[in-house]
This record gives sequence, structure tokens and C-alpha cells, in this order.
Amino acid sequence: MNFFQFLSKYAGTFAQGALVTVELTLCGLIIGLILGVLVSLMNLSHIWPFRWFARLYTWVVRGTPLLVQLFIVYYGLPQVGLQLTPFLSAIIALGLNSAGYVAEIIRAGIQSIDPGQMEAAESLGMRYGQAMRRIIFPQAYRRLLPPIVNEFVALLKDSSLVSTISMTELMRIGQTVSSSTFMPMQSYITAALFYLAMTSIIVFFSGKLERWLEVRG
Amino acid sequence: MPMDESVVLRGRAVSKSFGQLVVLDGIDIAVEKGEVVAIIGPSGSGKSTLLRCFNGLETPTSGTIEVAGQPLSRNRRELAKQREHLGMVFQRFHLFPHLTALQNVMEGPLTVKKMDRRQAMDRAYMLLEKVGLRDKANAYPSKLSGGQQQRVAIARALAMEPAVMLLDEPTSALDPELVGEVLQVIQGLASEGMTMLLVTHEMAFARHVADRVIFMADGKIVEEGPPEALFDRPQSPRTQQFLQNVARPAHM
Repeated sequence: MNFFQFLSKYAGTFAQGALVTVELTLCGLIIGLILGVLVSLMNLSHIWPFRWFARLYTWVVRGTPLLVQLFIVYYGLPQVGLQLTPFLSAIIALGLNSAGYVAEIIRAGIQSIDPGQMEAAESLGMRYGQAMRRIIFPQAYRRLLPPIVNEFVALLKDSSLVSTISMTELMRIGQTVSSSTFMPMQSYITAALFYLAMTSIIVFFSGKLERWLEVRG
Repeated sequence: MPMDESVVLRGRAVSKSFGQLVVLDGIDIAVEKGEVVAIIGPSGSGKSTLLRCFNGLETPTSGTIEVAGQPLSRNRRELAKQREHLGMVFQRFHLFPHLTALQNVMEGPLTVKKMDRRQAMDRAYMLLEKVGLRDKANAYPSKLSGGQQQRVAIARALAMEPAVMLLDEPTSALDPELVGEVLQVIQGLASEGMTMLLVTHEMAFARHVADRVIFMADGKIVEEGPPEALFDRPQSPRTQQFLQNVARPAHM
């Protein structure tokens, strides 16, 4: 069986795995973005317990491996009576993990805006939230796009780790096909091609989006 | 001290330190309704810090700031309310770069006053007309000269119909040939009776536009009085020296 025969036989199976990878990544990213925005706002807050919590959170999440976090959620939590499905464990671990990175990206983006902008907004009588929403965020989000896309790509690749908790996603399909066909080279190169196709699509569309935002002024 | 209805801004024994550095040292100041007060003095004398204390951008270490008889609130929501009455103009303009000139001027009335969009737009056009920039309404700040940006910034502050304008070295960041157009707008406001507190390095303009000039050095008010008196017959040696240096810069 040459590589093209291999592909025509197993491409459908790999595509199913890729679909699960997309689901995992998107769910993880959505959780990561929502929590990341919250954590970054806490980090910039005037209330010190919020700030303290946000710093502790990013410190722990970014300072420990995703695989360890994943095992704590999937294998650790049942011990305290919280048994989650592999899918739920996976998106929770991916989401909590990416939230740590997203929070730092947003914090850096907001702090890169000239402090004079906040002063000008507050001088008009805007409250902090209004100034954030109307003045600071609209300027920050364009700068946030490239690093957020990086995070998206990293998350997609990192999602391969959830194959270890018996999630049948792209990497796991690669392992399964490999062990049933005894063709590890073909199996993992096929998985790699699927990952590469997905990350390329993300990068392509983000480039388009970036240019579109620039054109709008 | 009796309640004085005509005093719009008042600072009592205002002091401000950053760590060991004393920037303001017991300033007493009052600005009456309709009055134009210019603050002059060497760099680092604390004049900008004093101005920023009046709209809460800086908090004095001790002393009190009153706006229209009310002490400036520590509560953020109440402070925001008080700031509506204080128009602030910055040295570096701080226009909102993602909004056009017109949108910059509309932003305060729309967001803070919840003014109807149509009405806010009409007012913004009127204010841009007033500062001579109606034809630049749809330009983004990056496409405007420094002088034009500062005039838009003045229109933006006026859109909130402030009781008093605070101007922090409004022409210091401008190329010399652009200073005149901004001073002309400020002069126009003065002749309409707008109350203003102005920090400036433009001595000729201060003399021309101000009802009263305050000379500050080392965080203290050294001398104050009508412009003719302060500029022509300065009493303190510190003022005399400063005015001499300004007239004939030391490095020449």
C-alpha cells in the first residue's frame, strides 16, 4: 500500500478526528477568551484581591504543563467526587490554560495604550467602564489580534495532548491507525498534514481580517 | 471662610508629594466665575500638577480642592459627575485616534450626557465651526496638524458645556507657526467670558488674555497679581529672575 492508497483509505477517518480537534479547540478558545478577558480586567482592577487572584492564576497556569493540568482535571477531580467526561475535561483544561495566556495578551494590549487616552476619557466625565468600552478597547483590539491568533494556533496544536485521556481526536486517530496498520510513518505524517492544513487556514483568514481592520482606519 | 458663590475653583493648602519629592507645597488659590487666570513658572514648579489636581487626575497629599463650592469627591462615580463641569485641554491633545474630529467632539455628549445623536452632531459641527475646523469634521486626528488637533481637543472639551476650562500648556507641544491659531481660539473663549485656568509658557499671551497671573516656583505661589503689575513691576527677586531668563534665555 503506497501513501496515496493509504490516504484514500484513511483520510475519512482522519477527517473525523480533525473535526473533533476543531470542536475541542473552538470550545477551549471560547472559554479561554471569556475567562481571559475577566482575568485581565481583574489584573487591571483597583481592587487588590482581584489583582492578587489574577496574578496567582496566570502564574500557576503559565508555570505548569498543560498535560499536568489535564491529568488533574481528568484523573484528579474524580477523587473529590467530580467525574467529568473526557470531552468536558479536555475543554475545561484547554480553556483554563489558554485563559492564562489570553489574559496576559489582553493586559499587555491595554497597557500599550497611551495613559493620556484614559485621562482624556475620564476628563470628559466618563466612568472607568465607559472609558474602557468606548476608548481603550477599540484601540487595543487591533493590536490584540495577531497574538490572539498565535494563541489560537498554539491551542490547536496543544489539543493533541488530550489524546492521552482517551479523546478520539486527530492525534488519537493517528495512534489508532498506526497500531492497526503498522504504518506509523504514514499515520503520523497524515495527522501532521491535517494539523498543518488547519493552522494554515487560521493564519490565512486572520491575515485577511487584519488587513480588513486596517482598511477601516 | 464665607461661602462665596462666585468662586468656581478653590484650592486650600494644597500639597502634593511623590515619595520624597515635594511638588506642591501649601497652595491657596481661588478662581472666580468669568476670570482668566494664567499660571507661569519654571519647569518642575508644580503648575501642571496643580491644574491636574482640579479635575482629580492627581490627588493632593493634603489640602482640599473645591469645584463650584463642592469638595472634589473621592468616589469615582461622583468624581466623574464633577468632571463634566471641568473642560480639560492637554499639552499633547490626547484626541481619540480611532474617531474622526467630529466623533471626538460628539463622544462626551453621547456617552456621558446620553444626548440624542442628531443633537450631538449638530452641536459638534457648531463647535468645530467655532474653532475653524468644520471642513475637517471627517478627518482622523492622524491627518491633522498639531494646531488643528489642539483646536479639536478644545472643541471636545467645550462640548460638555463646562463651567470652567483647565488648559495645561496647550501650545507647548506645537511647532511655533501653529501656536497662533490655538491662542486665537483661547482668546475667543476668554472674550466670551469663559472661566479659565491656564498653565502656559507664552508670556505675551498670558499678559494679553489673563485677568490675573500667578507665578509659581518650587511648588509655591511666589507672587500673583494683574498681568501689568506682575510683568512690569515684579516684587519678588525669584519672579524678576524668571522673567529676565524668559526674555533673554540664559543659554544665549
